[in-house]
Amino acid sequence: MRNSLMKIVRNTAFPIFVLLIAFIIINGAMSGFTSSFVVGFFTSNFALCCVTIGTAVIIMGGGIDVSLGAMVALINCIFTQLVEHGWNFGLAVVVSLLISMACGALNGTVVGFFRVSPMLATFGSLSIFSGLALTVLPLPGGTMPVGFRNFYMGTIAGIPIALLIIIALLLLAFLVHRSPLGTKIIAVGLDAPKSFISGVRVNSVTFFTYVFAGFVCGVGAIGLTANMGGGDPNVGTALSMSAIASCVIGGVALSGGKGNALGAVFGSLFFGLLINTVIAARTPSFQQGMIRGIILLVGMIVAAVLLRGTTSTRAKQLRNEGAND
Amino acid sequence: MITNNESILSNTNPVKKASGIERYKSYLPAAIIIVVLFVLGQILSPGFASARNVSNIFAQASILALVAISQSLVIFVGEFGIDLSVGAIMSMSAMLMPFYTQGQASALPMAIFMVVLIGGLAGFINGTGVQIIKIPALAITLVMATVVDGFTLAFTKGLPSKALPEVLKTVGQPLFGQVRTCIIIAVVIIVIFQLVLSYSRYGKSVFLLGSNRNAAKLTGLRVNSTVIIAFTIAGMMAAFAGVIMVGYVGSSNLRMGDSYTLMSVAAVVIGGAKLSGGSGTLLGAALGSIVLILLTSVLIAAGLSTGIRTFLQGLILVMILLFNSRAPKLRV
Repeated sequence: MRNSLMKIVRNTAFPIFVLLIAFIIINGAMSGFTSSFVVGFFTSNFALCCVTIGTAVIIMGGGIDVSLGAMVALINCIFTQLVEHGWNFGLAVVVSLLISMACGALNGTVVGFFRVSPMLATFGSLSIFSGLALTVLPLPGGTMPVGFRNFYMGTIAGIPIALLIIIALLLLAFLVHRSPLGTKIIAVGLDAPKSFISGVRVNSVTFFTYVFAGFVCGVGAIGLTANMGGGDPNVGTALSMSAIASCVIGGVALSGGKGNALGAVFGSLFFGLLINTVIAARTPSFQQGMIRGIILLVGMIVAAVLLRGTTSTRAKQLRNEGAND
Repeated sequence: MITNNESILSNTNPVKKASGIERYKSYLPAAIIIVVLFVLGQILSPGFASARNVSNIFAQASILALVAISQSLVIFVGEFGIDLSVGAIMSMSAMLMPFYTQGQASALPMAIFMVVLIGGLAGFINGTGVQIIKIPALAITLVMATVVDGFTLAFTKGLPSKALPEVLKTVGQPLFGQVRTCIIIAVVIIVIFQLVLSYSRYGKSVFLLGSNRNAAKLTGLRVNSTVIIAFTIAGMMAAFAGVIMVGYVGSSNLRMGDSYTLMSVAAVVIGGAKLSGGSGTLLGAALGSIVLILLTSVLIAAGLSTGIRTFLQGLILVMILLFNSRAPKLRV
């Protein structure tokens, strides 16, 4: 019992979990939670959660991606155009997801197989994606079927659909994390040359993390389209940076190999809740950005100090196995 | 420890200068791209390579080059240092210049002093966070960007302004011939910084720290203060670049520095520096800046729509990186 409790406390997601609970209490005390608030909260933060899951997987594999926000904008525009042009709805979803995975594959190829620094490579693809988004849909617009929007903003047994999809994506990330591939991702994140010598195909593993992120972003983009009821080529610019910040607060080490997607999602929910809290506290509108930034900075410092003692168990296992060889 | 020894051997030692052509080899890709782009621009729209247009391009590149100095320092000092707050700091100083000067030339020195001070403070917090609290540079500078953006909004209420002293607006005017003042300012500052980096005790320790942090620590270099100073100077230089930018453009708005953040990183890398630190020059960063600005100008000259232009810009950048800065193969 004590052992399993320690396991939870030492999990990299624990500090952000505590921080999140604290903010939920503060927020609840200030404005109270209605069910419409909860649904609205998850529908509007859905895209950020999705991008954060993708970013977390990439960072754990030792990479970074600044293009995911632009990718969300691109898929948002493509999906809107497909629906506008009278495509079958299911087909439009499938094609959009395939295109988002292809975008991820582009990043994965340049970073994984051509070994370009991920920061710069994805900066390049950021331009590529936002340029394409502007070409596909030069001005914000489009309409979404009412049924689709109602479905996305609906609930099943009181739980918002958006939250259910986030949980499903988290489960998917968890399954990958627990699979042999997940072990390889962490190994590559911890030390790529050593993993290579141990027979891990580093290129392919890196490639996979980017394709996975592409898929998750595609899901996020479709949710975003439902939320906005149309497309906007400039919609996702802030998403990738917010996602990276969410990952860091959520205990995903930027050096790679440490953390999990759950903590990262907690981080992004904290991010969203922070904005609500600052608004609910009736801060003058011009100061909201600065207060949000300062809380974020303090949160990051607190998380960094708290996380010093924690190591992900998988990383520890890998290290121990390496030491025994 | 084996890996450390390897990295000593594989890093080019910046203190010992390579001789002859070897020394200038890292500038070659950037120089070739510049020539190609000028020829391409002249073909696409005659008059592109005219003295006036070239001076225009160099003036814009000089602003990017000034931010690239910030970014260079942080990248040279190593451990994958990067500063994503430079764009926000530039916007901050651009917004605060009209606020402090109200169009009065006499208030100019004080205003520049204030924005450079605030930029330095932001850089100092970045450096302290990286070195003392051990937060990755990428993360803390990213959050610092939101703090600085928020500060600017809170301080200026986000209103665009044109209340700048006329003296400041002359940075975009020719001083003699087609040579504009901002180009001269950039050249002078780059030369000063390059001399400091190459010959001073501080500059040498920056490169040594970037080459091998552990070895630098063991030989007794002051790691903490060197890194914090690098970040602080980076913040100050970004603020100064913002001053030149607002003078060149003639009016300020909240988001005008944003695009410079990642462009400055790209400029430094195209100029031959490694993101892992320990190598690179400011001349390289300046060439990289010219490449990026020239690329945009050529695409504008080609008369393409914004979407296609952004797309091609990204595509060409990826191509340049494919040629220029690939990590060595894992198979030895």
